[in-house]
Amino acid sequence: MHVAFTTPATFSDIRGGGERYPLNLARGIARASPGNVEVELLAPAEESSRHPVEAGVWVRGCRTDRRGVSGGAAVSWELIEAVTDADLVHVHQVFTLLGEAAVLAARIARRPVCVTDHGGRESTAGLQLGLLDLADALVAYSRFGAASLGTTRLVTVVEGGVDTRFFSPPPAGTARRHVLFAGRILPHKGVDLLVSACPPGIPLVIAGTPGDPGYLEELRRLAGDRDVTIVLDPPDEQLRDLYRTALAIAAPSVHFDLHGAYWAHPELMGMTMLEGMACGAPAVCLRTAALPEYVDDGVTGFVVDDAAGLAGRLTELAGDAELGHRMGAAATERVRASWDMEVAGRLMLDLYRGLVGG
Amino acid sequence: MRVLTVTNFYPPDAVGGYEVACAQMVAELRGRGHAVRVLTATPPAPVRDDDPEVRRLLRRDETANPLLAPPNWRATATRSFIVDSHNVELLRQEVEAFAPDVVHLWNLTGVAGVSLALAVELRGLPWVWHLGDAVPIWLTALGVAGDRSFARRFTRSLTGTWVANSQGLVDEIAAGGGELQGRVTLMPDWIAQPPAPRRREWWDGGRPLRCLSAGQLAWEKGVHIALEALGLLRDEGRTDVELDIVGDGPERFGLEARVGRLRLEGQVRFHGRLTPARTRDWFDTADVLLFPTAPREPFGWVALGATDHGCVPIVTAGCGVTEWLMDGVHLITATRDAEGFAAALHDVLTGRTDLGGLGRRGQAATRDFHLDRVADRHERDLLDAAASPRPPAVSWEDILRMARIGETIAYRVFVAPA
Repeated sequence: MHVAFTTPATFSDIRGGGERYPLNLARGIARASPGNVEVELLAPAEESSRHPVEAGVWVRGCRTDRRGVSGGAAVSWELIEAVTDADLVHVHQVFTLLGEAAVLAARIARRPVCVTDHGGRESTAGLQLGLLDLADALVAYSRFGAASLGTTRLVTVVEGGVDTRFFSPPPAGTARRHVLFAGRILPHKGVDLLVSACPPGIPLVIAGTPGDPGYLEELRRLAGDRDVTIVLDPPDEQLRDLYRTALAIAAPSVHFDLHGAYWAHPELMGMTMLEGMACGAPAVCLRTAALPEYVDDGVTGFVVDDAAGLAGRLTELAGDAELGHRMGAAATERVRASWDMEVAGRLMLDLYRGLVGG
Repeated sequence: MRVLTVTNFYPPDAVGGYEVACAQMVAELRGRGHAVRVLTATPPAPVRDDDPEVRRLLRRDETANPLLAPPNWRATATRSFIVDSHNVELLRQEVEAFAPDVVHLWNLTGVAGVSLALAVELRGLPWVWHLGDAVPIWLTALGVAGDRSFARRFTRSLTGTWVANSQGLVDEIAAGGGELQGRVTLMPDWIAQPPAPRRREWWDGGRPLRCLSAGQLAWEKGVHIALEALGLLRDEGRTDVELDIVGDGPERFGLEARVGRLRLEGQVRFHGRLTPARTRDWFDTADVLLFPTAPREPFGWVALGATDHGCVPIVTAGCGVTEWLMDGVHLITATRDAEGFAAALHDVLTGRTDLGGLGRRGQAATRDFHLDRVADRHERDLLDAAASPRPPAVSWEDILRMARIGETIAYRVFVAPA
């Protein structure tokens, strides 16, 4: 089976879970049925390119003539052509011009279509005009994500997609010293709230891609002389080291950011939180969007309601290494059992086979 | 058989031969007992039409010339060529009401032909698309200049029966990116009138050679080349050639000026636009038809019409009609320049060309190009298409949804790029 994933990301620069999820899902699908399934990730690019990621997974840049236009606003005829050559098409970031065009191309070519929203809603035209009704299957990676589609149709939830071969616990005895935030450094991620809540004396590491220079400056100002380290654009190996030495992976995303702006879908899953859990760090998340679905409160981490709760649980974990170790181990087990990318790949493949066979 | 014909224009709302031919074929099919409904565009001005089976409903936008659709002609062109959900809905209504066995597509420019053709395809309806010109390429020409991707993607999505009037047209569509899937057949244009009386005599000297030019006076038709050829002959001292020009168009004044510049006033006469019957009278009167049209001319009906009357055409080598009537047997071909047409005329004037032989054979050959004979083939194409298996039908709801979303995509891609 030849599966085409369409996505606005070029995968030359994995910036967040929204980009990592399709890539990991593709890898999980290919690993779930070696030799039988090939997944090609199609994204608009300045020039055509195609290179392997691992067995059965290809990343293909499809040339677009709309120079200067990138991501979901770009449309590529090469991509449309590639869509029609597939046995099945899975459109990621469906609420973009690219996503809408890919759905139409697939339907015109009579190919089964799955769609997934990653929260980026650059285009509302398709949403208003019934784009989801053109899809054969709707896929979300959380119940919150499913509900946010606002449809009465069945939505298949395929959770997780973590590379647990790579993101795994450290050797026994590794010291865990800091609270870690990992992800895009944006206001709706609530990093400012974490900086404020992190108890004195507990080091805080903020690792990720700065999406808003002004916000980054605000964080630096807020940190003042606290023990806060900001690591920009860490490679995966460094990120894994940070996960492995974290006493907690914090996910403080908010619906209302520090400027009062409202974010309807601040977290559809929380990929970095799951990666941290896979590395043995207990999670501490706010009760925001999809985050509570991934934390078994009191078992794999804590779900809190506000900054005070966040501060309290971080203090608790910092003061009780045994508790942190126990929760971290449970978190790792949970991720491996339920949210590993091969687990997600198998679930996805079952869905695909039903569509292609049907 | 129930046939739903879809066309942008339909007589008396007509601008050219494509829609006139459409009406002729509709009449012929009805005469053979088939039920034919026509879905066409609302004319800009009311037309007299008593036929309840001609439904003048489609929205049509004139976009061939950007000056006709200011200020944002790309927006108009997007709706005109690519997608108009309103027209798709009208198509749905007619299909549901009429329940055709086959949909007969003609010229779909101006009525959002891409969306209409795709709707027919997705609905799983059998279809035959009669191509009198490179319509699939025109419909998809709004993309990046020189990029054939849209044309390729569009035509690869369509799996019915294509009927083209020449291989040259098929090749032109292919060169433009069109990949015609399904069945592709060639069928000539036709003569709708009964065969003309047999001509008994052909020019053999003793009076000036009567040449005729008939059709639109547009640059691509090459009437200026015919005038230049007469000028070359005159320079050689041959003034025993006359040219009667029937038709009108944007080149009229330029051609009149050229006649003066070439000092051909005594040999060339302009007659303006005439009725088809009067034009046929000229076919009877003239010895030779000069037709220096562009080589890409998909067919060139006027050469066929003249041949039917024993008037021998001298035509541009490679144009569509030369696939059906043979050089040196039924007509004369020439390179498309003044020298080429002058040389061909010179051969006629000096007796090197057997005008009578060409005329007799040509007139006999055109019997196979009369509507009754051509319609036999076309009727078979329609019946075959109607009986052919089709892909499963997509619901009208989804087709309309796709059209509406397609409108927003097309607008953002072709009109207002980010």
